[in-house]
Amino acid sequence: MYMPLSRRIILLVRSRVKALTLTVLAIGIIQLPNLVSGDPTLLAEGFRDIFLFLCLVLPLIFASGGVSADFRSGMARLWLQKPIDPVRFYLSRFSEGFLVSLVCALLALGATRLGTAALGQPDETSQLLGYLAYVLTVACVVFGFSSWIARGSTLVVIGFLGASAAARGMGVTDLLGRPWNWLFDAILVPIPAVRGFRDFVVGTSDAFWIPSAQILAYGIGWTALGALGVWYTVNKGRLPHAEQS
Amino acid sequence: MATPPADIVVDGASISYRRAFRRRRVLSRISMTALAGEITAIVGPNGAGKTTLFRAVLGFLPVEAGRCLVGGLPPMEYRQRKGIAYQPETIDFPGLWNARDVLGCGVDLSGISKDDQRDAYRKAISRTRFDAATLLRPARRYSKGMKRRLSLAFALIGEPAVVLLDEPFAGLDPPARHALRAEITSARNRGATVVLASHELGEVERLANRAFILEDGTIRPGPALSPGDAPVDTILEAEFKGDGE
Repeated sequence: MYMPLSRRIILLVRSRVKALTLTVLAIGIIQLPNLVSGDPTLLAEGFRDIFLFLCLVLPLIFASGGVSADFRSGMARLWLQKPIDPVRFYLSRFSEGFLVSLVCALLALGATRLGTAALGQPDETSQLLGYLAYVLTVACVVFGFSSWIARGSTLVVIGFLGASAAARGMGVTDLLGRPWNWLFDAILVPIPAVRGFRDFVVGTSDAFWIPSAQILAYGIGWTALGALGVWYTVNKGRLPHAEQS
Repeated sequence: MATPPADIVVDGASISYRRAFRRRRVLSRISMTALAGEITAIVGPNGAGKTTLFRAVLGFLPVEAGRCLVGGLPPMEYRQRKGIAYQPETIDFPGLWNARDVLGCGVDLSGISKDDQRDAYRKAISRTRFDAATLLRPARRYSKGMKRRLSLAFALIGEPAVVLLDEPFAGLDPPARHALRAEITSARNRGATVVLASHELGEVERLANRAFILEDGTIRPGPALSPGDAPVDTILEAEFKGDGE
């Protein structure tokens, strides 16, 4: 391997350091009241909220642009002139972004655990572990959008995540009747399934398979949509014009 | 490492761009053949459709009428099986990637056997003619000419049987032009099908075995050329101005 995975991951992380730092700073500022309160309980809550935010934001930082930036810049034409399958190529790129997001989330989890332990607060690691499912779901959504939308896909994903949370909060999936309820439930981020998975990890629920299957199906659905987007964009003349003569 | 020769046959092909609900025909029932072991030039004014023709030959743009075959196969199939060397007119290299990263990735993607990878990598590095410091600089900060040298070195990894060069002489200094001529001639001599789109009629006359004039979405064969000894900017310039008809 003349461009080993480790080198690609180092370049990916280095190229996103600025975005990551700004994100952590922004989350830190939002959580400032908790962090400066001096109350160990509020401080621990602040750490936990930062971790939750990171689970949602890390895939946006590391997985976004993996496809759309290549399409936009013309790099896709450079890579895809080689004897490779475009869908497999971009799936592997997506996997790298997801892997880095997951490792960063695990590091953040470790830091949260150390922070709460230093404050003498109860260990919530198992509960937080359940939220790692968000890393998978958000990464898959990012891939799904990024392969269809060449410009501004990250903003679209942020809008979609916000709309999902708002719609779930308003109970949209119970309001409209079939088949709309079912459709919305399938499209919106599966927050109830992630909570169900977390409850199983914590030990307050026995249900493992149903929430896990829902999260996996959701991830597979968005990944398949992303793969279809790559195939369609590359083979049906939708690669943006990087040059013209 | 070299793949078997592959002719390019475009027979009555029409190509359109679809944007929203509008369709704009760029090439209309064009026919041309580029033979293995020859250099074929496509000349024409800006916006004539030269890049569009390349995109169709690469299989990135479907042909809506007629047919386009590379090595007897549909372009997309041929590209995914054997690869097609393509030097785009412009390119934005990703983030912090340097020339060694780009070429290393090219070697990994080119389907070269492990035994030959080292040689292919060294050859690609030497093709750029960059010094050690330049090789380690982020490629996005290179000048236009350096980017073109890098994209050509990337394209030629694995010695593909089909070589498409879009405005290959644009932005190159005299030594780089000389080196490029040598690369193009060398590709032809090893039996590759070389197609170059260029405004530089002198270079075309010097190198090409045959030329096609692409104008107003149609193509017509140019005059017979004798590579190596043709006077510069004369025969084709007359064709370009319409004097040759």
